[in-house]
Amino acid sequence: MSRLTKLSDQKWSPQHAAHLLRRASFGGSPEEVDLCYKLGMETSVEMILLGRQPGIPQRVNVGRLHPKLEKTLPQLGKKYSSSLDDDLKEYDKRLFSLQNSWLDRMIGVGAPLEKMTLFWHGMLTSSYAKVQTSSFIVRQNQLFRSMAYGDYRELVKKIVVDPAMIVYLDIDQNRRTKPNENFARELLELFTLGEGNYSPDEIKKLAREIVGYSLRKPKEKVEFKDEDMLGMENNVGFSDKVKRLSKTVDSIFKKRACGHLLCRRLWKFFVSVDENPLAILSLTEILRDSKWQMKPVLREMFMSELFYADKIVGQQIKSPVQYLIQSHKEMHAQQLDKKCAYYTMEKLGQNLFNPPNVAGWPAGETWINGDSISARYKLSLMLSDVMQRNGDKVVKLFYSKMKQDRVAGLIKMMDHFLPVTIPAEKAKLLLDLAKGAESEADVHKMVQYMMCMPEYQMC
Amino acid sequence: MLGAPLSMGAGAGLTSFLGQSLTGIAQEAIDIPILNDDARGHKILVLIQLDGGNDGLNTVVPWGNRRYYQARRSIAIKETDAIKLEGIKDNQGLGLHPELNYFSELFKQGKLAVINNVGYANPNRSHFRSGAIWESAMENASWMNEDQLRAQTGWLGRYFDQCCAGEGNLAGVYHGKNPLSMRGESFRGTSVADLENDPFGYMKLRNDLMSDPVFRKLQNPASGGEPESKLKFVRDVSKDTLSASDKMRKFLADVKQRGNGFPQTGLGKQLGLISQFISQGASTRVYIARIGGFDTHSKQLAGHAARMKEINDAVQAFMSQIDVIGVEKNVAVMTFSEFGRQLKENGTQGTDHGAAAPMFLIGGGVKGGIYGNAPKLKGDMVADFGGLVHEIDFRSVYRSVLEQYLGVSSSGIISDVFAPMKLYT
Repeated sequence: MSRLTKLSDQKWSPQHAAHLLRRASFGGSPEEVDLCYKLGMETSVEMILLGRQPGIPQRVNVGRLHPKLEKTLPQLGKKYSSSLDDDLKEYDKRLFSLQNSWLDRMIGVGAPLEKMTLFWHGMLTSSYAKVQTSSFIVRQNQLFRSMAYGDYRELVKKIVVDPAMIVYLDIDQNRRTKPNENFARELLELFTLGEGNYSPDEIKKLAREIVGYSLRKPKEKVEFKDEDMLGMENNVGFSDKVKRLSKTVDSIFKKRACGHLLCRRLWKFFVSVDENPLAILSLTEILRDSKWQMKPVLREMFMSELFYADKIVGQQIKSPVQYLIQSHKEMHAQQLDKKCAYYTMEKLGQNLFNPPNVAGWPAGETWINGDSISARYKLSLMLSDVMQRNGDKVVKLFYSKMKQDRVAGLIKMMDHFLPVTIPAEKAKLLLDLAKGAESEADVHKMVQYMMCMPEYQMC
Repeated sequence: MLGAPLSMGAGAGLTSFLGQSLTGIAQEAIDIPILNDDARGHKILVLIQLDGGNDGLNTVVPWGNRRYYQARRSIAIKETDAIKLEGIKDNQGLGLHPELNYFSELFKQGKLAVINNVGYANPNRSHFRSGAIWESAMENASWMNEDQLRAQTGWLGRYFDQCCAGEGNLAGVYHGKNPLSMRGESFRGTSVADLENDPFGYMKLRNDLMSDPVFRKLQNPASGGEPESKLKFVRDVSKDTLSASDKMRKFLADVKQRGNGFPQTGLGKQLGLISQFISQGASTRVYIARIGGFDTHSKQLAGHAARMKEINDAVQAFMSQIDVIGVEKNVAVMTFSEFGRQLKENGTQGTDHGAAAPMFLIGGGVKGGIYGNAPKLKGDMVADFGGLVHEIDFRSVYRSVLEQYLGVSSSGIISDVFAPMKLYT
C-alpha cells in the first residue's frame, strides 16, 4: 500500500497554514496564522501533535484528575442512583459548568489537543443525560485528553472500565447469566470493527466476557467460562479480570477489519464527510503498522497533498463547537463569552456531553437547516457585539490595513474570515463597503456581514 | 418592474439599484406558499417517530399468549392491566398498554388501525441502520451498507419531489434533526425548532438585519448556477430561510397564541403547534413529530409507561383539536419506530433490540380494526436472536397511505414488490 503524497514545501502557503489551523485546531488569530506559515508545515504539524497551537511558546498543561478525585472514584458510584429528575435546574447548571470548563480550554493554547479530545468524545461517547454524575464525565473527558494522541487500543481498554461508560452502556448491568448486550454491540459496531464485521453470535459471546464491572460492588466474584473469543484468541488461563479484559480487546484488534472504522472517522472529522477509500486504506495500514499509535496516522494525514486539495479546503461545514471557538479565535477573543457558549449549546444542535445517541455527533449537512442557520447568524452578531465592547482588536487591525490599501486590506480580511472564494457579485458588495469605510465602526459592520454569510459556515 | 429600462441621472443610480433589489426580494418570497385558500381540502399526514426502538409487545399486549408471560417474568403487562381490544368478533387476545386509554376509545369508534408484526426481511438491529431502512424505504435497503444508506433519498422526499413539485419546502415540516425520510433529490423540508415561543426560529434574526439589503444579497447563491457542493447547500438553505422567514412573519402575526389544552410535554407541544398550522390552513402536507426514550435496555416498565402516556395524552389533545377545526377526514396520524424489541426480557428488567413490531394508524378515514395476526411468539416467528419475524412489510403500509389516503401513485416512491395493504375503504 502506497503512502499518501506529501505536500511539498514550495507549495506551502498562508492559506494552507490557515487551513491546517482550522481543521487540526479551531483556527487562529491573524498572528497565529502568520506564525504557523513561517514555521512551515512539518514543524507546525509536530507542534499540533504535542497538542499546542503552532508558534505559541507556552507548554500545554494536559492536566490530570485531582489525586483525591481519582482515589475516591470507585465509591462515587453510590451517587449515581440519586435521580436528578427532581431538580432539572441543578442538572442544567452542572452540565453547563462542565461544558464551560471544556470550551475554556479550547480557546486556550492547547486548542489542537482539545480538538482531538472532541474527536474522541464523538467516537467513544457517553451522555451526561444518562450518566448523571459530573465526576464521571470529567474523568472520561480527561481520559480522552490524556490519551488523545496515544494508543487507540489502550484507550479502548480503558474505556471499558471507565465509570461514565459503565453507566452509559449498562456495562454494570451485564451479567454472565443475564446478559445485556448494549455495550458489547457498540464496542464492536461503533468503537472498533464497524457494522457488518461481526456476527450476532460474537456479540453474545463478547457480552458474556465483559462482566463484573459494577460500580457498586467492585469486588463481585466473576467466573468465566472459556470460549473461543471472536474466533481469534482463546482466553483459557486468564481468570484475572484485568488481564482477561486486555486479552479480549486484543483479540478484537487482531481482526482484519479493525482500524478501518477509526480511520474513516478521522477522515470524516478532520478532512471530509465524503470518504476517500484509498486514502483511508493507507491510513489504516499506517495505524496497524504503528501498533495503534495515533500520531503517525495524524501526521500522514495533516501533511498529505490530499488534505490541502481545493475540494477539501473550505468545504467542511463547521460543527457548532467549531463555529463558536473559531469565531472567538478569529475575533481575537481571549476568553470564552459565556452567553455565546450557552446559546451555542442550546440552539445550534451540539450540546457537549449530551450527544444525540451512542454514535456521537453527526457531521456535514445535518448541522444546517433554517433554524440552525439563523441561530448561527445570531451567534455571530452576539459575539461581534461582545468584541466591540472589548475594544475590537481585529477590527483595529483590519482598519489600519485598509487605510493603507483598501483592496489589499479587504483581501486580507476575507482570507481571515472566509475559507472559500466568494462569488464576484458578493465581492463587489464588500469592495464597495471597503472603499467607503471611514471608521472602525464601518469595518466592524463589515466583519458582521462576513460572519453572517453562508461562506462563513464553512471551514 | 425588474429590469425595466429607466433612464435617470447618475445621482439616482443608487436609489434605483436599491429599489430594484427590493423588488427582487418581494418576488422571491412568493415561491413558498404558507397560506393557501384551497388548503383545507388537502390530505395531511402526521408521523410520530418513536426513537430508540419501541417495545411492541408491551404496546399492543398479547395477553392471551402464555409465551409472552413466560418470556417476561418481571416486565410483562398483566392481563388485568391491559386494555382489551373489544368490539370485534375475534380480538385475538390482544390489548393495549394501560396508558393508551384514548387509543382504545379510538379503536371502539373504528378510527384506529392496529397493524401487527410490521418490519422487513433481513432485519438490522443497529438504531442508525434500521432507522435509515425505515426512512429510505428502498426495496433493498436492508442489504445496503451504512454509506449506501446514507446516499439514499427518503420515501417522503421522493413523494414531495414527484407529487408536490413547486410547493416549496414548507410542504414538509419536521421537528428535530433533518430526517432522512423527508430528504428528496430537491426537496428538503422545513424544521420547526423552539415550539413554544419561536415557532420557526426565524425570529432569531434581528429585524434590522433581516431588512438590510447588503445582508440579503450576501445570502445569494452565485448567479448563473454552480455545481453541487456543501457550500452550495448552505447557500440554498440560507436563501430559502430568508424568503420563508418573510412569509412566516406574516403568518405568525395572524396566529393567535391561544392556550389550546395541549399537554406541556415534548410531544404535546409538537402536536399543539402542528394543530395551529392546520387551523391556519397551512399548505403543509406532512408533519413529523418525534419522541425519544424507547431504547429500554433496563428497568423499562416505568419509563415505557411514561412514554405511552405522553403519546396517549398528546394524540388525544390533537385529535380533539382536529375535530374542532373540522378537518378530521383530512388528517391522519401514523406511528413508527426503527424496530421492536426482543421477546425475552434481558437480565436487567429491560429488553434488547429486536425486529418486527405493531404500527398505529389513526383517522383520515382509515378502516379501524386489527390487521395481521397476533404475534405467535413461537417457532420460526421468533428469530434466532429473539426478535419477532415480520409478517407485513412496512412498505406495504406506506403504499396504502400514499395510494389510498394521499391519493397519489406510489410508483417511483416505493417498489411495487410490496403490495399495498387495504387500510381504507
